[in-house]
Amino acid sequence: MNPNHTNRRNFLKLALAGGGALAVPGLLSACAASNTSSGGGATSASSKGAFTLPSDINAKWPKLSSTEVVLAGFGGETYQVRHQRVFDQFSKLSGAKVVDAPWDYGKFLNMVDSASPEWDAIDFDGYSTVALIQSGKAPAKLADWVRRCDLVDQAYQDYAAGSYAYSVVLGWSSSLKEAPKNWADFFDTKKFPGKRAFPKSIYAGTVEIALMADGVSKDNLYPLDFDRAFRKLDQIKGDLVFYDSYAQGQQYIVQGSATMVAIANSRMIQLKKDGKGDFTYEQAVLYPWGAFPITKNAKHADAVNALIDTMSHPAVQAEVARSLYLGPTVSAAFDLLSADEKALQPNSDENKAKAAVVNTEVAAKQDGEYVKRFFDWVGK
Amino acid sequence: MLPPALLLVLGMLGPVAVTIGVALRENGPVGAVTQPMRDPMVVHSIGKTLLLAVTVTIATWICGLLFTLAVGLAPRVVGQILFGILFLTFWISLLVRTYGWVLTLQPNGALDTLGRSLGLTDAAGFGLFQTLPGLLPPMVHIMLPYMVLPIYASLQALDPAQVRAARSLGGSEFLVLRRLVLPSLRSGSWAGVLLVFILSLGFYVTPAFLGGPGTQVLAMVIGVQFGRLENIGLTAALGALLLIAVLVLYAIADRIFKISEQWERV
Repeated sequence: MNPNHTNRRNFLKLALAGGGALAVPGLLSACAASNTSSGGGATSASSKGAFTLPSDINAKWPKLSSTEVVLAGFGGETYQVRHQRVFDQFSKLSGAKVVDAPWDYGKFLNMVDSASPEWDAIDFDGYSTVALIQSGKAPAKLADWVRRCDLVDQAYQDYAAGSYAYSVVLGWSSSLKEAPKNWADFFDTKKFPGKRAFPKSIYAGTVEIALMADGVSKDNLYPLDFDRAFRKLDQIKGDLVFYDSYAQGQQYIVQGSATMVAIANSRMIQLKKDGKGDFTYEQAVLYPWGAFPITKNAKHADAVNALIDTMSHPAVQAEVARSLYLGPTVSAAFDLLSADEKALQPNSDENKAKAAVVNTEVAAKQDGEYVKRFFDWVGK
Repeated sequence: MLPPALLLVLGMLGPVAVTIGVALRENGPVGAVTQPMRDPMVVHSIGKTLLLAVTVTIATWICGLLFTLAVGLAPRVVGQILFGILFLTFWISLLVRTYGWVLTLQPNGALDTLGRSLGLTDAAGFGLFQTLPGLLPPMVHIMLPYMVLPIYASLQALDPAQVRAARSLGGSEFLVLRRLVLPSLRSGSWAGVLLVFILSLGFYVTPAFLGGPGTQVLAMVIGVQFGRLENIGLTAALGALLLIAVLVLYAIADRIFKISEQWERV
């Protein structure tokens, strides 16, 4: 079986963004989420203060001839903010317009080494990128003049830059009388009544969460023991409600459909700001870095490299962390964040110490089995 | 005339041919049928899909028949309003309707809140969300117009004079209904049943939204296997299987119930 399967967060965000039949469930959840997080959340956070690209950003760029760069991403609020804060200015500076394409894992896989790819790059998980390389479908290497990101695993720094860290956290509704502390509490439906919201479109730390709840130490999760994890998951299956997109997961908490949720850190930060719930970075499943892999024969190779160079600048990384709570993959970016801003990031020193850090290489190898086992379990 | 026909052939039959071609290439002619059946998850999902399609079809037929009779028997204005309401839902996106059901059925959602205020349920709620029973009302709701339309066409074909004649000759209301009205609705019913059954077999959006574990229908399996698992062989085989099942079903039904004639009336 092909080892490069998928990619939970990406799919969830795709679902949120819309586009294609698979995106259907999330489209509506997105509507729901805009209700739940009006006033809080990504856009409002980003609207404070202007952000100007640092003047040294294009210091190493060659002359660019492309007039556009096509990036497959998740649309929605996240990309709206990215455009507002970074892409629009990038376009002015480079003369290349950033064109959004709806995210599609299979489509990118077919495109990465095709002669005439439709996209230049895609917003991808670290382990998906590693899986691409492991399966002999390596994306194009970044140009020499593109900034490298020091928090990306050394071996992949030539392929992965400009991206971010995120984690799947334990969140709960403010209606709970006592705050849960860890995933063992998430599985304890006697002590903490109510449904638990879990993703069903694709896994998001699912097995890691179950193993930690079953007593495996957060530092000894890999390689993942699927049998043990799914046995544990069967125990609470009756108490789960499944969501198709992170937005729907948020909506469950707001509506009181679930008292606890396993969801992306940024979503819980939004809910916390709105006073709807709280979360912990304790035992969070941290995906430490991602990538924007470039198709081998990208039509706008110069511009896409310049875009990734821009996104890898510490100032831009810090701005994305500030406005979207997507953790920096450049250590210098942390120096630009205030203590409060740092405390929100999934991969600040303090939060990283609490988290179960995903072993990107092993996760890439196990992804195929993970996806298969996950869908067998959901469908059962 | 030729260009549209050509477009239809290329745009519609082309992908179907490719799907069947891939199914045969990846699995071989025997494997295309046997390979998917080796995966217990697929077999399980086929069972669920059939169960769901049969249940939905029966429930929709009962509701559709009652609805159509109500439309036909009610005063003209009321009938028109009923009909209007039904088809108004056609104009609302399927997604919106489905999501409306999500908000209704989800734990602590509209239904649970209503049930609690009426004292019908406790804090735990009805627990219908992401279960098979919870999937039925939304699917029947979405399928209803497809059932009502052909039955209504049959009803229209029934001459009111015939009903008056039956009544004046002493037939009781029940007898007229049983011996005259219902038999004349038979062909419309079969057309509706077939249409709803076929649509239910390939239903994706509503089960994807409202389904939970154990309601993984075939269309969802295809979606997952294709979009995330890159399992082209299995996907093509399942797609071809579903298509052929529907075509065979239609051919048989058409032979027996002359459904294609029914369409001309609609």
